[in-house]
Amino acid sequence: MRRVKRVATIILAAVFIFAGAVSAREVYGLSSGTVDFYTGNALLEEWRIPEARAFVDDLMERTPEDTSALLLDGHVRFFEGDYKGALKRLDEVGVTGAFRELVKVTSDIAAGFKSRSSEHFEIFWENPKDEVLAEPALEGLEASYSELSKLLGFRPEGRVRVEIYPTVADFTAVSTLTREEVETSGTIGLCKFNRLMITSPRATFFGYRWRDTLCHEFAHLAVFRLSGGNAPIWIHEGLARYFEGSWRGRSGRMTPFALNLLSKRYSEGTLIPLDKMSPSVAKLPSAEDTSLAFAEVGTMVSYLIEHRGGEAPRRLLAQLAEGRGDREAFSEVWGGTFASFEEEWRQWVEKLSVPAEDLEVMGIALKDSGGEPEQGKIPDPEAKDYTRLGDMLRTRGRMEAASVEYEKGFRLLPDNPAVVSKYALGRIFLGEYQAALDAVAPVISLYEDRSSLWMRKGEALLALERYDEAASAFNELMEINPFDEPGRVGLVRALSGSGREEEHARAVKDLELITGGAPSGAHP
Amino acid sequence: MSARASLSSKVAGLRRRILFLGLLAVFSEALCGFLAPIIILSGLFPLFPDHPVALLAGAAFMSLLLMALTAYTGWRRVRPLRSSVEAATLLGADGDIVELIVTGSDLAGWGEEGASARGADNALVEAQIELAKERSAALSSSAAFPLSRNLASFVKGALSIILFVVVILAAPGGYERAFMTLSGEGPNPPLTVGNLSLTVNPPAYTGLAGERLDGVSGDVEGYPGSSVTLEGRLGYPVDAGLWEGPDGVAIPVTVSGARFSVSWILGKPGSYRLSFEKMGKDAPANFTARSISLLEDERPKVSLHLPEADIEVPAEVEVEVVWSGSDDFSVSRGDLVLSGAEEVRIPLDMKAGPEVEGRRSFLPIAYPSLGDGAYLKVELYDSDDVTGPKSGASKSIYISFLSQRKLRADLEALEERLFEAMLSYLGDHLENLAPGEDEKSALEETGRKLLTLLDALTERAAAGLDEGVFGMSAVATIEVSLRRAVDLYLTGEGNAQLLIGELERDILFIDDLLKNLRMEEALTLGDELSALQTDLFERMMMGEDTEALMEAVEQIENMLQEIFKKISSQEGEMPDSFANSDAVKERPDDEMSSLLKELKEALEKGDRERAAKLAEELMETLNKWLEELEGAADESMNGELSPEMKELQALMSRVTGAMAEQERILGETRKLTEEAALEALRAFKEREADWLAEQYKRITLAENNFRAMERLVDREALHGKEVEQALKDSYLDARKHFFDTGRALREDLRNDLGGALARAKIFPEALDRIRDLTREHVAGQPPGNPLEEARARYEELYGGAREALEAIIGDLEELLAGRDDYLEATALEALKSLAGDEEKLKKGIGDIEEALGELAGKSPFIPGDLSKKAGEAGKSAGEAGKFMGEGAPFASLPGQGMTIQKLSELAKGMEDASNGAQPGAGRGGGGNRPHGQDGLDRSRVKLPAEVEAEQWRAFREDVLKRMREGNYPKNYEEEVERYYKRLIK
Repeated sequence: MRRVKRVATIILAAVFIFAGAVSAREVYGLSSGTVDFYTGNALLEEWRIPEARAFVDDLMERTPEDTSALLLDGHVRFFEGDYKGALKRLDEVGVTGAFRELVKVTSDIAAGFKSRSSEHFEIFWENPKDEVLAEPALEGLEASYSELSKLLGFRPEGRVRVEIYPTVADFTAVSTLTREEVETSGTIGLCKFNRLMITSPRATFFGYRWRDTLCHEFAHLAVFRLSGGNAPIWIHEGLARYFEGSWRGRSGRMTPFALNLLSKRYSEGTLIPLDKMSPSVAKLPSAEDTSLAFAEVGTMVSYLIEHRGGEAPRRLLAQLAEGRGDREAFSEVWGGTFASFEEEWRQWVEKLSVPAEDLEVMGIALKDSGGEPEQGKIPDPEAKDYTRLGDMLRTRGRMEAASVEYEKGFRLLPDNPAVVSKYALGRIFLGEYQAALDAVAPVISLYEDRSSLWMRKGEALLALERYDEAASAFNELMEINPFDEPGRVGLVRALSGSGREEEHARAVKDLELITGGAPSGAHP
Repeated sequence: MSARASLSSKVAGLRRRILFLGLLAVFSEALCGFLAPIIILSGLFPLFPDHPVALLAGAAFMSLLLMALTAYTGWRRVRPLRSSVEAATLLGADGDIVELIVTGSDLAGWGEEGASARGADNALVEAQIELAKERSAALSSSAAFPLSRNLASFVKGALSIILFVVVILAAPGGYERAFMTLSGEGPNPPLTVGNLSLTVNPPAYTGLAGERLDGVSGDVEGYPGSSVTLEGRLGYPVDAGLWEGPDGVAIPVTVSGARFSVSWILGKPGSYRLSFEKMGKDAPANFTARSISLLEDERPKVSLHLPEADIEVPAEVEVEVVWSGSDDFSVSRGDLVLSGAEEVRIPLDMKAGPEVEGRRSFLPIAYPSLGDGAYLKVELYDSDDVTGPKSGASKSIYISFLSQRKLRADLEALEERLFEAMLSYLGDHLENLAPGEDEKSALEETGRKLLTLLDALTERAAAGLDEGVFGMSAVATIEVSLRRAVDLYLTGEGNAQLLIGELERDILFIDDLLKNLRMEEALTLGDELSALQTDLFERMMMGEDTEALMEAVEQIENMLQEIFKKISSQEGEMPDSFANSDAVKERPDDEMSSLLKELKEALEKGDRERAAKLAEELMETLNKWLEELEGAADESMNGELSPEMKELQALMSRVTGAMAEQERILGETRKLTEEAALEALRAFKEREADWLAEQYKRITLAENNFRAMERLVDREALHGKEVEQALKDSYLDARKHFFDTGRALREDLRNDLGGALARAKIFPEALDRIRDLTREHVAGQPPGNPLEEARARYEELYGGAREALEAIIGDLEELLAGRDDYLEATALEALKSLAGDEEKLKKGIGDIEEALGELAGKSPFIPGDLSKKAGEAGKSAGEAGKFMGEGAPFASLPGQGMTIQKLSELAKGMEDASNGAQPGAGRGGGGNRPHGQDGLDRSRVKLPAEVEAEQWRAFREDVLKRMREGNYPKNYEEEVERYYKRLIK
């Protein structure tokens, strides 16, 4: 379908050029303005923005008053990130409707943007505190760029626009996702309209792997551009998942949690069919389904690359760019039928060990949802009760008593991340740092995205004066929740203890950025 | 002096005397004649006060006439002497003397010259004169003309003067007035006022026609505001007149000739006067003060039909007021008056008329200024536009507004205090798990303080219960167990772990409760908001004024903000699932704020049509959201249930259904057996006396045998000092039980044969128990007799007693089984059908048993003994069904009863499990613990079910209603006690 479109566009463009040559204003019943508009839009659809710009500039020079030219210019400006200019153009031609509203709201939100650039990226943020993300984001993205340029040969023209939204409401407004989709699937980043967009981790209670997310979205950009927009969702997500850790040399790494989830759902026969992932994994009914979908497609790509080499993704995308169907393209790269690939992959999944207990998938906890959610569920009501009692005592400054209750809970559920986190908190208060580390260690390996576990680990290590390890733990925490003030404080102290002056200075600066110079230091 | 001169002097003197006295008499007579009419007519003045001049004229005329007559006649009588002869005649007694005197007088009169001239001898003349002188010397004028001759005249004159003086002094004014009248300086004559007519036109509001009344006295009666015109005729024309009414109001009278008229408006009651003037002077009218009476315009009469008496209503529920009223003329308007902290008046919609009625609802929360309650009455106003509308009021009733929100807020504060205190105490214990002496003392002291707080809070909670808030029972619910746990700790009977467990359990309970209460509070706010919105809409439809509507809109805005604030957990945590629900997160803030803003604008502009449309839209939006909110709350309440627990709850309803079915079958079976039982009883009655005598004989035999057995026992072994008290007590208890059973069995045999059989069956057991306690202490009795013999005798006695008791049981069973023989064919047929039902029931119970077994395997929180209990119920049902199938309904009854009992136990067990209780699990803490030896209830505290709360409310309302009526419910105190006991059950 997309191929047909491209052909039509080229034909139309050719017709236009021909028609222009003969100075005819009518081509097969379509005005030349209409043809121009469709031509420009076809370029935009493939996010070939520089080409679209050249096209529209030429058009504007020839027919500066033409409505279609102005309209197209508005569209191109939007894709270029010139929201204000785009809105002006649209208003000039009197356009109303959904697109104009999208441009308007984007323009309004972007009005307060500040930015910083690296060689290939320009990052924008609105809330001053989000500046703390800018540098690490650029570092991560450049690293990812470097990897993807090597692995996929992807080198986008100009700087890639990256936008960090201060609230979920802003993110949903500009992304066209609904809040429900964000909350259900945990989709908090998006690659759309030729730019990368994420919601600031500050808008969530417990954060998320925000740099992985940025690089994941950058991978989407690469997949889109390299496939000419022809990649189906499952390949999109599979490749993005595979490459999201590329910035830190972890391409293709599946977390133990993801593998456990995959194994569990496979054993239950409840894997998500590839076709069900369209139009977006964000539209799957639960956070667990979304995680599973990522695990499925991520491991598929991993399996492909593992068995067919690092060139496989590039070849796959090239096949798609040529207009081949997903399974056809995949078969081509796999060197066999898709069914044979799927069968082998299933056999591989089957060999994964099935976890003994249910795994808990945490969705994104948004701050403007009201209330403060617990970080994780506690399935055993009795353990939950003890933890609740501990929390009640803790919030009243009775930490010693709370640690007794936390211990009771821990005795019942020693593998639950929420219980373990609270138990470790109690142990740290009592000065039993090693006990805290011992409790956290087995759980954090499975639930490596739980910020609270990293916090406990960092605190215990800091108390044990194992500063380098503590700094690592706190850095890991910053990957999840860079706005965690106690975590930032812990990082500063750990870096100070380890004598890493440069990093320490930067950490202090970052701490000042998120606290406005007055860290609260409150313990969560 | 010469004779002549002397005589002349005598005659002249007499003449003078006569003239003097005569004239005096004439004067007296004339005076009398003059005064008599005056005196006489003076008496007529009072009679004819209007004619003083006429009377004066009459008196003058008559006086003058009478004076003239009397003077004339008097003068005629007393005229002076015309000659000396007459004088002499009068003086002299005889002719000679007269002659002599006359001669002498003449001679003397002639003088010497005259006598000479006439030829008279001088001597003679002298002699004559001398003689005359001599003679005349003896003459006396007083004798000749005595005073007495005119005395009557003098008296008359004097009397006239006296009477005149008396009359003048006694009745002055008459002649004076007459003279003043004549002189032009006197008052006007009395003025007669007559031929009065009154025209009264009642005020327009009465709708009554005017009326003219002729020949009236002048007294006026009419409704205030009536226009009155008085017309009449005067005795003589006057120049002007004045009407003087109550309070000094004066109105000029219109005078036309001898006619007058005056108009005024009836205002006040009292009297009025008329006064007239003529020639600038008062014309004294004979018009005395006339009364003005006001007819009273009655106040409207108002009846309040609903509410009938003092009531308590939730503030968010509309109160319907039904009223009617009447007035002698017309009721024009009315208000619903609510007098609370402030007074609120709500205009009533009505069609004016003499008879009106209507109904009006109001929403208490729409009038927050009223406070917690208000006196309600209906005030109606008549159409009196003269003195102002008069109002009539209905009876006043008091409405208490039960603000669920306020009660809940109170409750929340109450629970939070206890919560904090318990949490603090728990912290103290957990931080001192191995306390030293000092720490232990401190813990005990804190424990005592907690009990003190608990006392205070329990008292307040009881008051809260009285307010009908079921959540108030939280304190009461945990009170008993918490108090016991603390008591045990303080007395050293329980260890700290028990107390910690109790505190943990109670803290969790109250934490849950508080969250739920906050959620409930938010929902209550939602209800109030919805009610307010509906009220606003209705008020808008009724055309209430803009200002009031604006206030209502602002109230809605405020409440909306309040509810938003509450559900966003800014005022405390709510259940997680509720707080995270879509209904809470995606609340329509913007949409509703926008609608409210538009609504206010429309109201301000007076665009009622648009305002109504917006209000309707607002109502729809709000109700939709509230529905979602309630759904979220429901889900929250059930959300934490696992699928197994949900299934368990579903099974609970099946168990309840099975119980109901068994109760139905039991009822039907009893109906079928009633007739047969009666027949059997009739037959039994014929031989009852003998039969009973036989049984009594057996009981007596058993008792006597027992006493004989006792005598064979060594008393010291049972009652001696060396014997343990426990053994003594045990024996005495068993002995008492034996005889009590005997007594009770005699009673049952007379009244309840079924009960007697059950009792008879435990009788042998009672005998055996005593035997077990005594058998080894049998001794040779009397001392010295062989032991073996005594033992043989003991066993013989036991055997006899036992045989007698078995015989009683056998007879009873035979008797009762014989009832089946009296069953009719139709009953047996119906019994077959019931047996089929029982079989189905058994199968259903079997399914429940199976399902429970599976659930127990899936969830550790569902105990396995539930399935076992269901099995027992199924077994009983099976046995009962078997008897029924065999045509033995009587025998099936115990089985049916047992089925109900087992199902009931099963339902209780399932309820405990569904509430988190897990008897036997014993994991300690968090609430899932079994009963301990300390008597503490280890099950999780549960919130009272809503249905229970409803029952309590109903009970409470009944009590309140009856108390208002002065009619306390029967056994009121016991009922109240039960009511409170239920709360802590």
